[in-house]
Amino acid sequence: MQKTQQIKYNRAGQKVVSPEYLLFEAPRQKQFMTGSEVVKEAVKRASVDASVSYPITPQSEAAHLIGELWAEGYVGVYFRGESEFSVMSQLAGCSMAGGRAITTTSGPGTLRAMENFPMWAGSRLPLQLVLMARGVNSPLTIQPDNLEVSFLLDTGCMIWHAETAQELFDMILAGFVVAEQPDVHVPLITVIDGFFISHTREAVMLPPDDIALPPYNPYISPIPPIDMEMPPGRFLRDPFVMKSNYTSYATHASWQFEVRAAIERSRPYIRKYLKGLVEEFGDPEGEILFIASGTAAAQAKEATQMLIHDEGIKARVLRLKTVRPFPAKEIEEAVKGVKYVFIPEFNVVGWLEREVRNVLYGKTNVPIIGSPKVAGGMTMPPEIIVEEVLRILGKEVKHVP
Amino acid sequence: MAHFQQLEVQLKPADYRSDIEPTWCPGCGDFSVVAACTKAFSELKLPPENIVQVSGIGCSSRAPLFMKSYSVHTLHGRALPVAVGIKLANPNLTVIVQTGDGDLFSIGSGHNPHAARRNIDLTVICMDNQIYGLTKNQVSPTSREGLYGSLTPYGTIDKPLNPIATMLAYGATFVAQTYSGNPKHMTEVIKQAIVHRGFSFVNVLSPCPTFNRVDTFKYYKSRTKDINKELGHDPTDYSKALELAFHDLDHYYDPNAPVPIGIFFKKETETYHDRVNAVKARYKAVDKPTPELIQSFVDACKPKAI
Ligand SMILES: Cc1ncc(C[n+]2csc(CCOP(=O)(O)OP(=O)(O)O)c2C)c(N)n1
Ligand code: SF4
Ligand SMILES: [Mg+2]
Repeated sequence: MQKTQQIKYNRAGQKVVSPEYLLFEAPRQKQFMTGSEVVKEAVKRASVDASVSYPITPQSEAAHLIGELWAEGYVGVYFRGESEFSVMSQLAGCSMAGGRAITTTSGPGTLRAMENFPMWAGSRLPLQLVLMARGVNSPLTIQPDNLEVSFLLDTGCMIWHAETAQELFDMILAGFVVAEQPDVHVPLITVIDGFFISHTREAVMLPPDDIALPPYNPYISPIPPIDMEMPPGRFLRDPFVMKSNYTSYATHASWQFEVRAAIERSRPYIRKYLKGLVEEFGDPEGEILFIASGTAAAQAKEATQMLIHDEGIKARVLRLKTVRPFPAKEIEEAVKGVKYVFIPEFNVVGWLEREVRNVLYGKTNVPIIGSPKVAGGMTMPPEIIVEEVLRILGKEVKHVP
Repeated sequence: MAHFQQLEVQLKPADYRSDIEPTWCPGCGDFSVVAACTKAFSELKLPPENIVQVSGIGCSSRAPLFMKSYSVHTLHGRALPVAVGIKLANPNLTVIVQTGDGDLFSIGSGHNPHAARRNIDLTVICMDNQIYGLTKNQVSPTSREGLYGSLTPYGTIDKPLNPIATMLAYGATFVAQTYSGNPKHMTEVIKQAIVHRGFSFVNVLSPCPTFNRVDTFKYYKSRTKDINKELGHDPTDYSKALELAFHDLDHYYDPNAPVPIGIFFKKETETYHDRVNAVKARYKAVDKPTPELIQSFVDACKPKAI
């Protein structure tokens, strides 16, 4: 048995329970709260050692609430960085020194911090960033828009996308459990759509707050993070990698592959702790298939019900909970027998559409329609999704005035 | 002739105001900065089309929106490097950075030493409210110890950064401090900062009545002391300037210490562009190369016939 599993109480005096008990078995009570407050509730039960913060709308409140947890004794270290660039570096330091660490940011903050994310991944730090997506410049906007996820796809971090505050709560806790598996051990970026989730209230079911995850055990890390004898520290130290020769190229490439392979190895754990990489919703026979994540998926679900009940059109949703690892197999399965795939998104580039097209290339003839797409803070009422489907099917649009 | 362009006919300060109404809270210190800037522009007869005001992100960084000049609202912390780029490309422009204590001394602080030590001819106006206003109350690097902010539950335990001493140490050739409650002083200081050839830094104590309940107009009112007029400080003396700067924040710890305002340091010395021009002169550079000159370069690069 691991040493940490024998610990009965954590620093805050909470009873340490198994992840399975905390996530699935503990009795839960209903609360009514915002996404930001839910971050606090999750961190409170996650035996977090360190958090570093920098304000940016819409995540400042969540960062503030984690500070309250520190004041209440639930978080070991709480530090204020001087920019997101320093925050993500300081957080890396916290992890390298053996702590479980979490932070939050949004939009321009994510981009400011960017150089750190591949470093986190390459250093195999199981950090967690809760990303409350907002638009990025220019023009300046603070509105919801998840374009920034597109920039993060290839950083070597896992990326999960929560649909609701409830799911955000569960993902933060499950996130540490999956990210810290010795054969995974890569960072996790837990995304929600800013404002839609961070600033609205919903009913969430929470386990008691006197129980918490087992503390992080840095000794089960696949690499001693600040040991220069082992990769990647060793790679950095040894002069051979600093040279331009075949060994240096191969060393770098193999490590890049290893980071991506580590993300792939997270799949069984995600199946266990998130109950799958995807969620299916609607008519299993649905010939209209929406592939979506986050708030876009929530809107697609509403549109699906309208299509089924008001229009007599069989529709369903494949909601992706994870974007890295990408549920390619699940998507391939889901498109079988489908007439049209629609991918609604809250950004201009259609990063999810791009990803889906990529995995389906040469595997299906089903038309993939990357719409509706809204951006810059616009909302996506289910009516416009329904309208889009009716238009493509050549049906009369009576739903929307 | 001034080294910047001037109008023949003076415009009124109001002519430098844009038609955008400020979105600042009532009583915000930053209103005075717009008033002082437009007055300074008017008195210096600056052509509005020759002024470029560059800002980052923050309440203070909105200042250029409310004035009639060219302006750029850049990224949080990046006003200075964008301004440097503008000045490099067109040295004839009067380039002014409008920024905040967070924008300039927290996320953007990495740019300050380099713009200052190179003595690039810019004017940096920092609206120092010792707080992050726009993001609703977090402490900044200039916040006094103990100040409460939403990300510092027990108040900040960090020592504040001293903007005047910092910029002096970095090599700024004009360093001053002024105060939003003294518009006359502020206008005079901003005028001198713009006229100064070289890197000018003006720290404006500009209270945020909404979030900073400690460093208020009321607090400053009886404490500001004009270092030039009242203390007879000679701004050409760099060591005296530094010495005085070291006491800039004494009032945080000593209720009897004054809040110094005035020009700490001012020295006209060669600017970045002067040095570039010296290099050009050394290598006999011309601004408009002739086809013959270009051909001579091409010929010089051709391999010599063996
Ligand atoms: C990269 C990045 N991080 C964070 C923010 C959020 N942000 C906007 S303004 C600001 C602080 C502004 O403080 P200051 O410069 O003192 O201006 P004030 O509002 O006090 O005038 C922050 C943190 C941002 N816009 N971009
Ligand atoms: S929050 Fe403070 S700095 Fe911002 S406009 Fe209001 S008073 Fe001014
Ligand atoms: Mg400020």
